[in-house]
Amino acid sequence: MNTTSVKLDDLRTLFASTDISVVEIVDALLQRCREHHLQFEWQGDRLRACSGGGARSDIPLRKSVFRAILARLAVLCNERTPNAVSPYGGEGVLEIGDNSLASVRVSFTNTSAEQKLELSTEIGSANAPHSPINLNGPT
Amino acid sequence: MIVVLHGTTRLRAESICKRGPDPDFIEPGGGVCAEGFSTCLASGPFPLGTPQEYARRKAETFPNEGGPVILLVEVPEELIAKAVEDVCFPLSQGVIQFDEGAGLEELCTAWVPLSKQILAVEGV
Repeated sequence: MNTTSVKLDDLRTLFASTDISVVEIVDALLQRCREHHLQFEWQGDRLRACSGGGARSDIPLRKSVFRAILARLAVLCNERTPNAVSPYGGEGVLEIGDNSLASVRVSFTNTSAEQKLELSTEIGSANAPHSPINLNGPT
Repeated sequence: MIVVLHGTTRLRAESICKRGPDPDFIEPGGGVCAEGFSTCLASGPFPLGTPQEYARRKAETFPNEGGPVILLVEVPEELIAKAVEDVCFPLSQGVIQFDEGAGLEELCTAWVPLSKQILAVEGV
C-alpha cells in the first residue's frame, strides 16, 4: 500500500468519525493536507476525493456536512484575510499550526449547484505544491 | 423554545414564512434542490459565518429578491434535538442543520404555528 492510498484511507476514517464536529474535521483536514494536494468534489450523491498521487476514493458523507466544511474554511480564510472569499467560493491561504511557513492554499465553490474543494501546499512553504488533479480520470 | 436564524433574501424569507422550509427549492439559474434548511443559534457562536453574511451574499447574487433579511424562528427544543443529534453539528457550535431524517420533516410539520419574524439586515 502506497502513502497516497494510506492518506485517502485516513481521510475516509476522518470523515466517518462519529465523535468529532465539523469544526474539528476541518482542523484535522488542514493538518493532513500538509503532505498531499487534496481535491474533493460532490458528484451526484457522493463525495469524491483525490490525492496528489492520483488515487481516488468515494467518501461516505452527508452533503450538508461537506457544505458545512466548506463554510468553515471560508470563515477561516476571512479571519486571516478579511473578505478574502465569499461563503459561496473563492481562494484563500491558511497558515497551519505554529509554523508560519506551513501554509495551505484553499480553493472552493459552495453553491447549491456545485460543491468542490482543493487544498494545496502554498509556494514557499515546507512542502512543494503538486499538479492539479483530474477527479474523473484516468480510471 | 430556541431562537434560530436563517440568512436569506426577503422574497425567500416570505415564502419560507408562509409555507415552511422547502427541500425541493431550486435557486434561479440552479439545478439542484436545497435539500435541507440551514440555521444557527441566535446566540451564536458562528463557526460557519453569520446569518447576516449569508443574507448579504444571497442578496448580492439575487438582486431582484428584495434585499438581505434574517428569518427568525422560535423552534421547540425537541425539534432542535432532532437536528443536532448528529455529532457533526453539536449545539455548542451553534449550527442547526435540518436535513431529511434529521429534523427537517418534523420542523415542516410543526411549522405553521411557530413564531417567526423577518428582520432587515442593517448596513446595506
